[in-house]
Amino acid sequence: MRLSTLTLHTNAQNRIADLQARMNDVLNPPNLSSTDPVAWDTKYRSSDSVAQLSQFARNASSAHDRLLTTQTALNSVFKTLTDLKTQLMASPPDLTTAKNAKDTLLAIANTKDSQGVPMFSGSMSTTPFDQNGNYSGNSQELNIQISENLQVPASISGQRAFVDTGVFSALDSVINDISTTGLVSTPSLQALTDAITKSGNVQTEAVLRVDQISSQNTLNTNLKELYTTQATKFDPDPVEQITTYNMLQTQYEALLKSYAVTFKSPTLFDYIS
Amino acid sequence: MSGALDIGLSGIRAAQYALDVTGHNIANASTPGFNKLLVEFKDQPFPPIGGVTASSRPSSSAFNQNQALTNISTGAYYDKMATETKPVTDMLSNDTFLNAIRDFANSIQDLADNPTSMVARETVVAKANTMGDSFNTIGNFLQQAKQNISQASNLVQQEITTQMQVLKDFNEHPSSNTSQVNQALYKLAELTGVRYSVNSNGTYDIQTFSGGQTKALQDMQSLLNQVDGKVKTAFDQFQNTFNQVHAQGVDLNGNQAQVFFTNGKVSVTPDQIGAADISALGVANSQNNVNALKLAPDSTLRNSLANIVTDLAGSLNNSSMLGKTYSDAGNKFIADNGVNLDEEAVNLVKFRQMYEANAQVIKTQDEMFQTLINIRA
Repeated sequence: MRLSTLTLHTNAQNRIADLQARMNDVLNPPNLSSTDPVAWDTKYRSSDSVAQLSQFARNASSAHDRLLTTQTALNSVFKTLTDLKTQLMASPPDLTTAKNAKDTLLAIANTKDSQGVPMFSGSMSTTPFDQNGNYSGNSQELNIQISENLQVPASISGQRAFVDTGVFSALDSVINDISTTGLVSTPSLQALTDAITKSGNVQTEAVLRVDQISSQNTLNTNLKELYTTQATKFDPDPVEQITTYNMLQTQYEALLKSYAVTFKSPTLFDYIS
Repeated sequence: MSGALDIGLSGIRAAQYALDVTGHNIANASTPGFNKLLVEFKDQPFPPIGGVTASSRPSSSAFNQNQALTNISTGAYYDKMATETKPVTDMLSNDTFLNAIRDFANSIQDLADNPTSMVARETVVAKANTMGDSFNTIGNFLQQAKQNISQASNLVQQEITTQMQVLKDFNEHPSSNTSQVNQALYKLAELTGVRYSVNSNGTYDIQTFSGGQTKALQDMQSLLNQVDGKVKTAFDQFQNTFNQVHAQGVDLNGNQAQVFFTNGKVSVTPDQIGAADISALGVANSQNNVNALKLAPDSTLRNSLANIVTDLAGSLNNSSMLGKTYSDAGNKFIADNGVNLDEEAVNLVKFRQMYEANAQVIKTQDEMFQTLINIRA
């Protein structure tokens, strides 16, 4: 291609300026959206997913902790009831033991979490059980979002843990029997046994929920790793940056020398005379 | 006998003329808009006369130059589009802005996790305001960008008037000195679409039409309006949906929740956020988080914005590429028709040799005359 001398000079200036700009871009990479929209879109959507999965992980962690605490409490319920039944079967029924068991269970039923919120009040914030074991909470359970399409109950209401299982009504029957006859009637013992079974079932349900959250969390973590890889794929690699910069610097020096030779060396005019 | 003398003389004259043209080209090597002159030799019929005449013409024709003007104009259009689109794309794809939307979504999740927590509620309000401010910032930025485009359009119009005046001045006193006209035409082509024809009296007929930076600025104004509209629509839809769901909820005091966003600003206090559903009506400090889970924004807003950015960025890349292609084509014409000093150096040698050779013809003829004179003597 034929070039005018004016264009040769202009091109020289443009190429030098272009290399300077590229060196600057290596040190201060421009916004991906301007230079590579497809890469930006991938990075944006991936980092958006990472942020969302991180939130789900926090939710899952919170639900996990809450359910573990609930499970521990329910385990105590189960153990207290089992111990009471063992004691009732092994020796003459003791009223104090039965009353102590009820007090222990009432204390568990009114346990508050680290935020000071009752664990077994449903969605109510008031103390759920009175001295007699009457429930003033509700049956609502706190659902937590742990993936885009999955919400899990992260609490167990007092209704389900104590009312539906008949824990306090069974204890009241036992206490009433001991107070009046000194013995525990078969129906009362059966009610206690049923309460133990149902309480165990609720505890198992809490364990299953914890397992479900753990499994989902593992899936989320794997997915998050994939998205993180995608999101950081286009981030500048410092080693590559230094290498590219050195390469461009060499190219820049070569270009300057090349133009110095082109424009400072003798022109054809020098050979004419 | 005198034929060879005349022929040699015509060669010398032609070579002298060619050297003059070459000198003129060399002198104008750095003159903007200068199209080099080409020497054209034409042989004289032989016999009876013989010899050569030389003339010159500009290296480019009006047809070619009009083609180049179209390329320059198209290149300037795309270059301007790319230059003006880039800051808008960068602004919309800014991490701070997009993070504000994510942070708000996450704060709602945290609220659902702990619906009675005042810290969580205050965070929701703070993040919602930050997000609303971000959208206002974008709106203000686009508004400012539109004003800048209007100002730029005025400047471009002023520059068009200036260049048209150059051409008008030339037409009042037409001459063969067209470098200034070419320069004005090249500049005009960057500013708007332009084509020309030369009249027999040397004046230029100039036609301008939509193109160049003028059209780019008009299209950019329309693009900014579209982007502004899309961003506003996306946020308004988000606000309306959020407000509708929120109003179905119950706040921490057990009251029916109110409108959450008013013109991008949070219009409720932290305790008035409707995290609970209607079953908690009349119940203070409810742990009910059913409405908070419904409020948690999905990715619709973020995806809408990502789509706007991706469309803009695609258009930006396209404009950059086309701008370079057309500008290169326009510049190639200027490069082809400008002066190359090496080429002119070769011409100098060539025409000097032509001059010397023709001088040699005259010298030989002169020697032959001398021979005849000497015979007489």
